[in-house]
Amino acid sequence: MKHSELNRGTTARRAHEVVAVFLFVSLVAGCGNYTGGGDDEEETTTLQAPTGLSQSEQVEAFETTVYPVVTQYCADGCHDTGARGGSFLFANSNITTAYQVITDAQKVDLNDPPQSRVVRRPVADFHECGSQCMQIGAEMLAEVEAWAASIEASTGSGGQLQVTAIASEEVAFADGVEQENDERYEGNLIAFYGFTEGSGDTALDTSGVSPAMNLEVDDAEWMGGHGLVMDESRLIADRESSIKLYDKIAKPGYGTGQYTVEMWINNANITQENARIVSYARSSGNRNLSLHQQEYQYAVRNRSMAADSGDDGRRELISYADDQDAREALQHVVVTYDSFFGRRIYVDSHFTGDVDDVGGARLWNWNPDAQLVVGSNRSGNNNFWRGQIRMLAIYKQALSDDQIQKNFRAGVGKRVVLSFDVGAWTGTDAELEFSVTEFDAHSYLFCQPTFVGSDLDGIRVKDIRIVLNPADGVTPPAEGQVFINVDQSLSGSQDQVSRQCSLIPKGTGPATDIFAVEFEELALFVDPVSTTPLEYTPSATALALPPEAGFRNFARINATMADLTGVDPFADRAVDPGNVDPVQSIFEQLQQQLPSSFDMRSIVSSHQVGLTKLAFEYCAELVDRPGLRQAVFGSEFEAGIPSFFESDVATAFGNATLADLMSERLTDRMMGTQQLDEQPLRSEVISDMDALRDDLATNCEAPCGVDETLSVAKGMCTAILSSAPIMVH
Amino acid sequence: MLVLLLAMGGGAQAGSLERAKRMHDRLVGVPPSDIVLGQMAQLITDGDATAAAELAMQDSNFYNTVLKNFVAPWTNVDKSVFVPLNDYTATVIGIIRDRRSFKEVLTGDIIYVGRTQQPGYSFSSNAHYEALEASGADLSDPNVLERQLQSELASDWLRSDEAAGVMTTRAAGREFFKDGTNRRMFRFTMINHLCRDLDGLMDTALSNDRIRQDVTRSPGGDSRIFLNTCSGCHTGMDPFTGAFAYFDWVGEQDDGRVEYTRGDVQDKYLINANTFPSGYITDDDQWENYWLTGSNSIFGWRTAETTGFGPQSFGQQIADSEGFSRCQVEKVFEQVCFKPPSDLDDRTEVEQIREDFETAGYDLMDVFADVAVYCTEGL
Repeated sequence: MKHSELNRGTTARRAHEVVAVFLFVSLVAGCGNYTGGGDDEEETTTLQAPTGLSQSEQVEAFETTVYPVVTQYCADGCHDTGARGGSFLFANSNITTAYQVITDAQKVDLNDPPQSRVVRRPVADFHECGSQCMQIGAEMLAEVEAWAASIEASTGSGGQLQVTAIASEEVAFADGVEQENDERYEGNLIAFYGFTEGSGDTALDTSGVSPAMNLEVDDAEWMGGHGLVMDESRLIADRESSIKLYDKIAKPGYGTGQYTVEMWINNANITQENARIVSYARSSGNRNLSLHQQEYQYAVRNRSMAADSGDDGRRELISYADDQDAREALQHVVVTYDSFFGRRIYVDSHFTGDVDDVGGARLWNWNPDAQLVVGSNRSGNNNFWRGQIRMLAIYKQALSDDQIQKNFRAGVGKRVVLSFDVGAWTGTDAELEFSVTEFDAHSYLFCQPTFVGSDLDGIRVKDIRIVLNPADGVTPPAEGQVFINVDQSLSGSQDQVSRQCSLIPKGTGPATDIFAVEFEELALFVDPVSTTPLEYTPSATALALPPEAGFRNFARINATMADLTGVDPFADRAVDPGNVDPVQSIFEQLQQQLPSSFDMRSIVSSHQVGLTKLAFEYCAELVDRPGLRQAVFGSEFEAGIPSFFESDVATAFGNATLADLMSERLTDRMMGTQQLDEQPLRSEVISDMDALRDDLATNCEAPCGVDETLSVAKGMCTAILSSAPIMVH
Repeated sequence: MLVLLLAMGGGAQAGSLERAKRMHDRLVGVPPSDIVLGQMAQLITDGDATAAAELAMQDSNFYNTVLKNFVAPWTNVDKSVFVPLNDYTATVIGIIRDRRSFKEVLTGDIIYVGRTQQPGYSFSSNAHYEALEASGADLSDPNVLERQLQSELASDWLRSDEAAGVMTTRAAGREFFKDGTNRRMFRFTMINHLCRDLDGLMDTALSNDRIRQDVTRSPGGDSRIFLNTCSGCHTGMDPFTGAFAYFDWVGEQDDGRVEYTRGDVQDKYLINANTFPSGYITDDDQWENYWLTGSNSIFGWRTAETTGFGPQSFGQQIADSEGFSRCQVEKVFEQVCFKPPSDLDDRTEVEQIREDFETAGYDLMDVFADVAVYCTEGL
């Protein structure tokens, strides 16, 4: 952030004073007036400590050069104590005070020592120096030069003086010198609209080709920098003048049979459809030619004698959708038509590549009663195009690629040169010039900053910022500044420091907006910009907490089930990658049905259905494979002939010992043997498992044989494996 | 019998079991076995909760389940976890597993591949990793997932000083270099490694001088939109994205590959030049950090050089920042604690863990352990 002490409303004047203070000569009685700024002395820009030396070194440099001379010749009650009325105590016995005064009040000019006030006052004003004026002046000059040399030696770059603001003269936009745009190709031009009127109900055809096909402006808003904002608006020429287009282009035996429509437009959005930008039409469904925007595309219709042109030229040529040729940006859009290529569309001087498969043909079937319309259908009640139109030109010729490129390069809109005088800081005739346009209704575009002056060699420039309407407390707009990173030394008599453009928001408007330019460094002066980075400090703001517990996500569910059942989901693939593992395959089918986050609040019934199904697959693998189930249920369940799992339901679960053991083993396997505070009581879980077992066994599906015994075990396994104590963590 | 009893946590204090169970669940994604639970509980009782966390992380599920799904969303635009294993994910898992500096994810000439997996690694296919995943390969095993050099695999087109960790992997290219203007690679690097999306990185007060020509300065004819919104992202983003100027994705998404054109700026950097002709023209892969001042200086940039060429030095710039370390800790925190750092205590702890992370060589395993210890305190 720049220093803000300076009243920026007077920046330009003060900038002059920085140098003028060394030049102004006044004859003042008594101790004299050394301000060089007349009555504005209190507003003089504050010179602070030269940089490149430490504070003590800076004072020391002064103490060993100029200070002895001023204390010798000026410490007679004037500039030491002020007892005789002196305003500036640069000969004060306190060296720090003296230093501060002589720098703040700019009594020395280190750029140009002979112009220093402490030199000029005795030499030019003979101020309080009697017969020693020339001698004192010479001594002062020698010491100022010595001081400047010491600073230069310390920095290697001529030294720098720290000030509180470096600003140019102010310049009003209205005072800018209008620039001619680059030359355009205008051969065979038959209608031209620059939209420069700025107000009124008519946009003039300035082509000079009779009859003038002026456009009536309906509900469009004039832009400051040439153009019209179209929003449910219409521009329309009357029928009498519009016949010019028919006569010059289509009339049998007279018309050229070719044309070009060239425009600079800015689409308001890329969502509008069938939005008529420009038409030459008799009615909404009866046109000779039209260009409309269809979201990201441009479409051209043209009536011709070609068999495929469709009724009223309805068969359109539309730019390729994926190219997204139509954008919500200022674009140079050109449509050409000739008998060889038919229709062609150019955007920003480039042919879009869309080929007219209708081709070219004579235009003898054009309707001579058509009217030129911009921004809507002919009636002005539909097909509105929203955007800005900055220029429209119509030619009775299909422009060549080169001609289109030339006109694109010429640009559009009013362009002025604003010259900012910075000589107050450089001590030369240097000015900083910008080529400025009204970019749109809300901003100016400051382009190609170029320093101009008889001798720019060695002038340091760093960090250029454009200020809008300088006044007290006004700082440069933070947004849009492009030249912040300029950091260089100038050379020659004209030095462009950037090819780029800076976007500066409009203030009160082009009639009254005023600008100045600020710098961090210019010549010997520096106004350092703070670059202290921010430090991270943990915030004390407390957030609403999600539930402490979380639900296992899909991958954790799968891994957990694999771990707890002992089923290796990749067992079959390990044997042969071509094998299909039933459990893993089911998981891959189900995984997107399972929870993807841990947040309990996101769990819905479909998640539960999915994980239950997966649990059943794991349990089926577990129970169907003797090796796996023995590891879970124990060897007791495999002993005997038939074993537990080889018995029917009644036999198997009639063995109360094994039946109870099944509940216990499953519970311990799934929940662990340690009773944890946050888990349900083991005894209660076992009791629930027993009840489930009894229910399944009692209500088993006939014939309640071995398969149903396995099913009961699978059901019990599934119930606990998919339960909350397993899934919640 | 006594050994078994101790292993089962017989000497553990009340609460240690619960803490051990929570720690294991959160770190590994699956419940602990009785034996591991007991060992962890004992370590906690003995005052070494960090060792308990380390013990838990020996479970292969930490790599195959937790880390895989921790990283998977970083590797695609949709931030989906339902994506196959790929070289981006595998490389991050490998760096964590081998306890290498986590900064290598953005700076390293490094990639992890299946040692014996067929088909082998390919620049134009992800089949290698999909096969590795489908086989249920144990990613915790260095004999299964091994480290290699990107510059050796890509010896004919990428040098060691041009490789930049995951940013130059195939998976990242597939998602973030395909089409567009390569700003997507920057955006997702910010999301994944500074934990900020672009809307949290806007700064309209910086110079516009690196904003490319393809950005309209007057959307719909209203330059205020550009000044107040668009420029906020582009001021910082466009100077950084110079780093990727030689990268593109050629071919379709599934069988295409990263293209690197050393010395030649990709066409995608120069498209739509007439949208704003006086915008920035990219002529090499130089990048610059414009966030040394302004609101994004809060990331604590440390590297002396704040400009460079190519993605590796860009990655170094990001990885050296405080913001990078803080982001890694915050991600782990949310993964393990099931909440973001939510109050001053949490955030202060994150800063402590971040400092320890940096001091101890950017070992992310340490962060997992430290966070697990913190988030299970009080159980």
